[in-house]
Amino acid sequence: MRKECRPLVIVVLGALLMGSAGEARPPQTRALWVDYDFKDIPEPKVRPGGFYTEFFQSEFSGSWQRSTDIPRLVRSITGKPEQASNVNAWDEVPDSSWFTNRHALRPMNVDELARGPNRGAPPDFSQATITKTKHGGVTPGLQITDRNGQAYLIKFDHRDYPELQSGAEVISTKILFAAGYNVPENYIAIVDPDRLEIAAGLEVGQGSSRRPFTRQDLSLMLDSAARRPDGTYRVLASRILSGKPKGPFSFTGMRGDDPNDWIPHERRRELRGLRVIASWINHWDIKEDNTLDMYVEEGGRRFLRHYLLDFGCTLGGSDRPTDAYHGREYAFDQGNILKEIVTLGIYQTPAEQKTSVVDPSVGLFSADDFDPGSWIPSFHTAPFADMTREDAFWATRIVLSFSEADLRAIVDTAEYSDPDAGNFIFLTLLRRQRMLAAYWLGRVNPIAYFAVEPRADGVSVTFVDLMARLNGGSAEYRYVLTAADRSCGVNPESFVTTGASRVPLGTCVAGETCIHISTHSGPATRPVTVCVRDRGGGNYRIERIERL
Amino acid sequence: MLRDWVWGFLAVLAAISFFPGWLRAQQMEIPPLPGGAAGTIDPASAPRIVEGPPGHYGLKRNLHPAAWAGAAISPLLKLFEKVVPVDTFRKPRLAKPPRESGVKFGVGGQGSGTGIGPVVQPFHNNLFGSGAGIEVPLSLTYKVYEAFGVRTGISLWRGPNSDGLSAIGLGAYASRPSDNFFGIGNDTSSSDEAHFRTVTRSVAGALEGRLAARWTVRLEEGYRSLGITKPRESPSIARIFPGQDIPGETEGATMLATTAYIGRNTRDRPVLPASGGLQRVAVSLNEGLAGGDFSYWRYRGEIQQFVPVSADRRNVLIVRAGLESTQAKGGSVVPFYDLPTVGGYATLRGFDSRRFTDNSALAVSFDYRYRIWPYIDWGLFADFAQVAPQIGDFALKAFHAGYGARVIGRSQAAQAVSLDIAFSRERRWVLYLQFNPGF
Repeated sequence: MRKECRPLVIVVLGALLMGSAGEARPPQTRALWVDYDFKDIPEPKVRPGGFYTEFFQSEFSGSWQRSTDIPRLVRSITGKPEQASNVNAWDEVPDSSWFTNRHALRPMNVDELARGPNRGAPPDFSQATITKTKHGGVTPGLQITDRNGQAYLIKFDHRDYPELQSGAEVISTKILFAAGYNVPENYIAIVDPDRLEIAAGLEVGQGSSRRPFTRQDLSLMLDSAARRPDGTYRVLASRILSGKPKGPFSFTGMRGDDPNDWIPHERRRELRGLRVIASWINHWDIKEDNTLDMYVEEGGRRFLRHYLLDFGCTLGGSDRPTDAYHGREYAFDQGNILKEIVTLGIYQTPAEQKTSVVDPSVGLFSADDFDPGSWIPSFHTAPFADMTREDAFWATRIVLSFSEADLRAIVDTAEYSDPDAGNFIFLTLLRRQRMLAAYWLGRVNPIAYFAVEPRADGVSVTFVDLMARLNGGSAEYRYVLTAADRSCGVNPESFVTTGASRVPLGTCVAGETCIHISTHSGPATRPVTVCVRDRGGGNYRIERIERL
Repeated sequence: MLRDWVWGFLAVLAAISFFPGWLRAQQMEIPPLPGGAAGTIDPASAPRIVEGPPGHYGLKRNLHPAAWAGAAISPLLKLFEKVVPVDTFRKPRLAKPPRESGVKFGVGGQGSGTGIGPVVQPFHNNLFGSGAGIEVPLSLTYKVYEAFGVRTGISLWRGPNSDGLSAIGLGAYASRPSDNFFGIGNDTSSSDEAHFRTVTRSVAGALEGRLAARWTVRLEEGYRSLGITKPRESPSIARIFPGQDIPGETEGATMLATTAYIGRNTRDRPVLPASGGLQRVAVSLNEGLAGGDFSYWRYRGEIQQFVPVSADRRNVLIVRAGLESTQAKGGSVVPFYDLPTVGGYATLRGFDSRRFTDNSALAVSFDYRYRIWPYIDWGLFADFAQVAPQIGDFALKAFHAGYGARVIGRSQAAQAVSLDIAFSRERRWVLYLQFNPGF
């Protein structure tokens, strides 16, 4: 080796050995329900987006970096992947500028679920003005100001697929909001083109081809849109977010100009677990361009709030029915491309497989071919690749928090003109929910929702076996207590097998008592450790829950 | 169908007991939803879930060669973002209104080995409100091959199904600094590579009829002035073939040509067709007006057939065959530059352009093209071609063969670029770059 090359090689090898990730996270003991990343910060610059840059990052340099991250590979092989960083003592994600615990932990009633993120009055387009035209994305759109002066981005359904995209976007918006994510207010609204005015000076086109936007342009745009019999148009109206847009957030690393951003995004559990929720609603179009950081002012402080956007490409929709490969193949799937090349095109990728559109307003949404474990978005997404079974379990609990009535209420807000379309979406969501739960619960110790139950005969810890609930059966549990006070009538440090989802701790708990519970209903999984402390006066509280 | 689905699901649902919205943790002291930005607690002193940003995180990431590659290519990608927005490759949802006039821009070449360059084409489809159209294609490659033309047309009669009769006027100027000539015959040596330069000016008038949107019939009368000058690349023909009587080698000619053409086009699209075919035949009588005793017939026939192998037309088998022959009229000759040739992208990949020249030429190509990604096709091909003094002299053993593979990038907006890599006994590897390939 030439001498001058040695430092470079050492740096490269060092980088590979250190990896892009960091050290494994120790079990979290912080009893926090709010991660206070709302500190007042100077206004950040707009982070530039861009399809090509993101594509290169996600499909090439990012994949390369991750596939050569030796510590990550070693952890993966040894079954000790790096856990999420923002997990509290109860194995939950605290509220932050990224995520707010909603339906899964703070139950929302059906009215709240149906309202979703929407606040205030719905848009009133009885008199409206077009102020901008939208060029990007798969759907033509307009920014218009309604009678009350509120700005909305409106998107039209394709004329051959009425209600497809708008329906999907409204449903997914409400599901993701209830799950805990920041999403825009999205409404189904009716627009009468005769009542639309064009703002003075509005132009269309780019560069030298810019020219005034005219009624003819509007007519051309509406030519491809789904028109109602009365000449009006059903649209998806997305209320313009408050604050200043600062560009999309990255799915890896941290934002350099955000002093609140302490956690690499690929280590955020809410972004990792989003894979499970996205698979449920087939949100294959997750990418940086469909996220947005908004510089907001709340409570007298200015900081970045992080949004997910654009859910038109969910369920079975897009501007047209989604392609069959979405959710099953990457947009640039190097493995499948290689298979195609060497088999002279005989290998049939998911993109080539035959599917049929259920209904124009439903698109291509099905549970028949849904495989929760192999579901992938169209672009490599680092947090999804780093998702651990624990992250998936967390997300599965969120998915399972939606009852039939909840989902029915949410689907109804899509206002499908054909009730069968709504029924189909509702039932497919239910089927996918069940399939998804069966898959991910089978990979962890599926007990959760621990509670301390003081009884006359002593204190007990109760829990729910989600897998047993899912299958309508029972299971057997094996537990052992540690650090319990021997004088309280409990025999610690010896294993007990029981069929009940209840662990008696005895008549008193001195200090901290931990229970290690294993489940024998499925494949061997790690025991869950639940630690309880008496805070005095019989006030028992769960101190922490460990799944590692 | 939808109703069947719904009832089927309802039956499944009835058979299972499902989750109510039930399970909530009660003992973890979950606080109520924070109002505004996490309530009234001062975040400046409030705890975080982590102690701080991970140590050396950025350093570790940035030391990786992938980060360097990303940093190096980033400016290029950003520039690309501005110049060719991603929407360019998407199928436009909104049909653009047809423009009456404007300028089309593109990139292209003028045959194998000519290089690529910009193509600019001003057009007007309704000159002075008369319904007459005009196009002025201008092409210049980086190897300074020039082609400027003008095409005017006016509809004389228009029927249903795109039928019609048009009168067409054509004018063209072309300057080709260097074309190949290896001698005449099927066994010429590649070491005898010589070059010549042509400058051509032509005008023509034609009557063109379109029938049933697929058939085209044309009768054309054209005047062409062609000059032979010193090539940009040496050696010249005179140096490689001294003393040989090669018709037209030393001077150009002025020709009058009468051409009859009939063609049938059933291809599903002009760029990378997946089905249908193209059949065309042309016969022309060429009479020299000045510069030599040139008088000859030229016959051309071509067949292209695109056979989809899969129902979704992702895999396509392509067969192309072309036959061309010239026949001198009693005692006259055919200038060498008008003799049929094979070699190059269109006829015989893996060989130089115009590699073999004679009075007759035959070329047969087999391509198998298959989609490996929505935007990329892969392909394999085999080209076979030969030349001979007469059509009856063609022999199976006389075929020259070129083989290779190709990769084609395509957009949803019907634009494509292909890169073919061909191998033959003469050239180890030859690369061909083609914009909007026709096969």
